Amino acid sequence: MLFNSIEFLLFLPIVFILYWFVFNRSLRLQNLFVVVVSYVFYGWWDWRFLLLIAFTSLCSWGSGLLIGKAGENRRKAKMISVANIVLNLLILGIFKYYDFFVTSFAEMFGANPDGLLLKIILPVGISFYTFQALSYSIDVYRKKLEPTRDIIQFFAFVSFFPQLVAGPIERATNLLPQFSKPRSFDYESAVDGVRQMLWGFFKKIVVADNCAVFVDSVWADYASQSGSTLFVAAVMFTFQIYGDFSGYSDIAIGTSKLFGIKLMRNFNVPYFSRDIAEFWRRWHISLTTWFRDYIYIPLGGSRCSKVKVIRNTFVIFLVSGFWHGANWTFVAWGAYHALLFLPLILLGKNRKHTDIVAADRFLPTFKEFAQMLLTFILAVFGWIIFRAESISQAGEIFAGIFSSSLFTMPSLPMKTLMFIAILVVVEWIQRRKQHAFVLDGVKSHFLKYACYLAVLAMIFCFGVYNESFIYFQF
Amino acid sequence: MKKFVVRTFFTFLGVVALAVGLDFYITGNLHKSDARLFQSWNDLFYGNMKCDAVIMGSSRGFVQYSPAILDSVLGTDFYNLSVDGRCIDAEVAKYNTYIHHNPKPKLIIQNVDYGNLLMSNGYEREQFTPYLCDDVLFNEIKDFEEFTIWDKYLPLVRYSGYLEVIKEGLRIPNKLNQYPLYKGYFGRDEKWDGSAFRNVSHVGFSVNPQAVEIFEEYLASCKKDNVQVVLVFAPIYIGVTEKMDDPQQMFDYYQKFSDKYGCPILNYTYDPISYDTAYFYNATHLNKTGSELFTRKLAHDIDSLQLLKR
Repeated sequence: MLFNSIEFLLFLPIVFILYWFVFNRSLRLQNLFVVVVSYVFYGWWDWRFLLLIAFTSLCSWGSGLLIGKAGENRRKAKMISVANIVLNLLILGIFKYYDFFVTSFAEMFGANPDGLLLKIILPVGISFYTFQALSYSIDVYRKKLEPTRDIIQFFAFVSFFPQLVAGPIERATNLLPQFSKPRSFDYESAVDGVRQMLWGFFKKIVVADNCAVFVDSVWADYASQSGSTLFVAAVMFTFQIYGDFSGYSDIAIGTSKLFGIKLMRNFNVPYFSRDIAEFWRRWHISLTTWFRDYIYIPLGGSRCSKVKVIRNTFVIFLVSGFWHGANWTFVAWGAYHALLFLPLILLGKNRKHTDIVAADRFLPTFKEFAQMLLTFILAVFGWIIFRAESISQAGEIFAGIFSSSLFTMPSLPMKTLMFIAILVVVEWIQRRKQHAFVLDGVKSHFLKYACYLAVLAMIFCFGVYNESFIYFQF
Repeated sequence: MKKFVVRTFFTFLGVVALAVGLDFYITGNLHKSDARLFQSWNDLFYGNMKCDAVIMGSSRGFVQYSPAILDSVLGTDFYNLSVDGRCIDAEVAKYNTYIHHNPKPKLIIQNVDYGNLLMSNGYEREQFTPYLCDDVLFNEIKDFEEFTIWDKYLPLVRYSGYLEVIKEGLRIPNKLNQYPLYKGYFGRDEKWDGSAFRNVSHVGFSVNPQAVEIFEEYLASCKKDNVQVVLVFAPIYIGVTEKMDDPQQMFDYYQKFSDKYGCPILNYTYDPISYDTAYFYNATHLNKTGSELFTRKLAHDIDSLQLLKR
C-alpha cells in the first residue's frame, strides 16, 4: 500500500481507532494487531512476499534467543550471529543481486547469461527490513540488548508498517523496547505527527512528483537536450529524490507518532550542508549510522592509521552504494562520494561542521553560502550517476552538460521551481526544528489552520498522483 | 485522546464539507463549460441530441470529419463523437453512453486505421471527470487504468492535480482550449509540419486482443440494433503508407469484420488527397482544408451507396 493512495487514507483512521479503542486492553493484543495490519499493509502490494518477511523475522528472533542461551560462550554466540547474518544476506543476495552478478560475470567472459537468470521480482523494502532484523541479532551478540522471548513483539518490531518498506531503518535498541511497554497517547505528539505527515505529503506529491515529470521527460531524450537543460534536470532530480525519500520518512515518522511510537530522524536538511561529510550526517541518517555502527567502527573506524581510515571510508561508501541497487552506477556513486570525503579525512576536517548552519542567525555568511552551494553542486553531480541507467549513460550526460550548450537558455519548469522555492524557504526557516512543519511558535489557531489548508490546497491543485516512491526499489 | 479524536473529526468534517461543496460547484460549471474537452460530452449528456448519424474515431476522427458538410450534402443530422488521443475502448465507451442518453443513430461512420484497435493510454483523462457520477459512463470506463472507484465516490479526488480544469470549474481564466467545436468536430487550420514525419522510420499495424474483443462486441450490438456501420480508411499521407510493411494486411484484417457484420468499407488511403501535403498538418491528420475536401467526397460516396436509406 502506498502512503499517497486513497487506500492508505482509509486504512490509517481505521487502524488508529482499532489500535487505541479496541486492542488497547492488552499489550500483547495491541502488538499482534500491529503485526496483522502491517502484514495487510505490505500484502496489499504482493502477499506472497509476506512469507519472506516472516522467515527473516523468525530467523533473527530465533538467533537472538540462541545467542542469549549461549551465555558466556562467545564463540558459539558469534557462530549463531554470523549464521544469521549469512542467511539474511543470502536471501537479500538471491533476490536483489543474483541476476546482476550472473549478468556481470557472463558479460566479462562474453557468455549469454539468459539460462542462468532467476528473473524474480525484487520484494519491496527487502534491504530495509533485512538490515533492521540484522541490527537486532548483532546488538544481542554485542550484549547491547537482551534477547526478547516475545515473538509477537519481535515481529511487530520488524514489520511495523509505517517504516517497513522504506525506513527509517530502526535499531532494535530504540524500537523494540517501545513494543515491550504499554504505549500512551500523547496529544501534542499526535498533532505534531499529523503535521509532519502533511509536510511529507507535500514533499512527495507536490515537489518530488512534479520534478519527476520534468526529469523523466529530459532523461528519456537526453541526447537531444542542451547542456543547460540537462543540468536543470539534474538539479530537479536532486530535489525529486530528496522530496520523495525524506517525504516518505516524514510520513512514516508522523504516522508512528499517532501510534505512540517514536522513530529516529532520517533527514536533517541535507542540502544546507557545508561539506560532504556534513551532508552524510544529514542524509538518510538511519542507513549512514547503520553502516557506521556495524561496518565502519568494527573495521577500526577513524581510530587507526590514515590509510586504514581511507580504506574504511571507501568500504562503507561502496557498500552503501551497492545497498541501493544491483547496478554499477550505484557503486560508482558510492565511490564518487568516498572520493569527495578523501580530502576532508586527509586534512582532518571531516567533523568540522557538526551544528546547523547559521545556528544563531537568520541568513548564512557569504562563505557559508558558497560552501553550501558547492556541496549542493557536488551532490547534484553524484545524483546524475545515481539516476543514470548505466555508467556510459552517466558519462554521456556529463558530456552533454559540459558542452558549449551549457550556456544556452534551458527549459525551465517554472511551476515546479516555485514548489522547490517554497520547500527551500520553509526548510531554511525551520532548519533548527525536528521537521519543517513544527508550528509550536504559532499561537493563532486561525493561522495554523490557514497553514494546513494552504498545504492541502497545494497537494490538491498541484499534486501528481499514482507515482511510487523511488526508494521502494531498494 | 478524546480532544485529538474530536478535533480531528471536526477538522475532517470541515474538509469534507468544503470538498463536497467545491466538487458540486466545479462539476456544475464544467457541465456548462465550452472548453474543447467538455463540449461534446455536455452535448451528449444535456443536448437532447437526435442525430441520424454519428462519427466515431480517435484524433483522426476528431479533426477529419466535418458534420456540417455531411449535413449539407446528405440533408441529415450528423454529430462527431470522436475521442481525441484515444483508441477503440474509449470510443465505444462514449458511444454506449451516447445511446443511453440519446436515441440510437441510423448510421455510424467508424474511422479505422493502423492504431485504432489498441487500448487507450490515459490521454486527457480529465475529459471524463465531470461525468463520473453517470453510472453508464463509469461502468464503461471503470476498467481504464487511470480511474479508480474513489474517483466516483470521493469528492474532489477526480480533479486532484488538474489545475486548469479546477480553474475552469471555478470560472477562473485558464489555459484550457476554448476553441468552439462544431458538433464535436475540430477543423485545424494549420499548414504541413513534416518534422515528426521525418523522424519516423517505420509504421506498424498492430492490434490488442482486448481492443479487438471490444470492437467486435460493438459491431455485433450495432448489427443487432439495426444501426448501419461504415468503416472508413481516411486519407493518410502517402509517405506513412509507404513506411508500412504491408498495408494490404491491415485492409484484409478489417475486411473480415466487414464481411462478418455487414459493414461496408470506404478506403481513401490511395485517394489523391493522400499525395498532397497541402491537405495535412502532419503526416496522419488532415488540416481543415483537407478534411473538408475529404468529408465532401465521403458524403457523396455515402449518398451513392444509399447507406442512410437502407
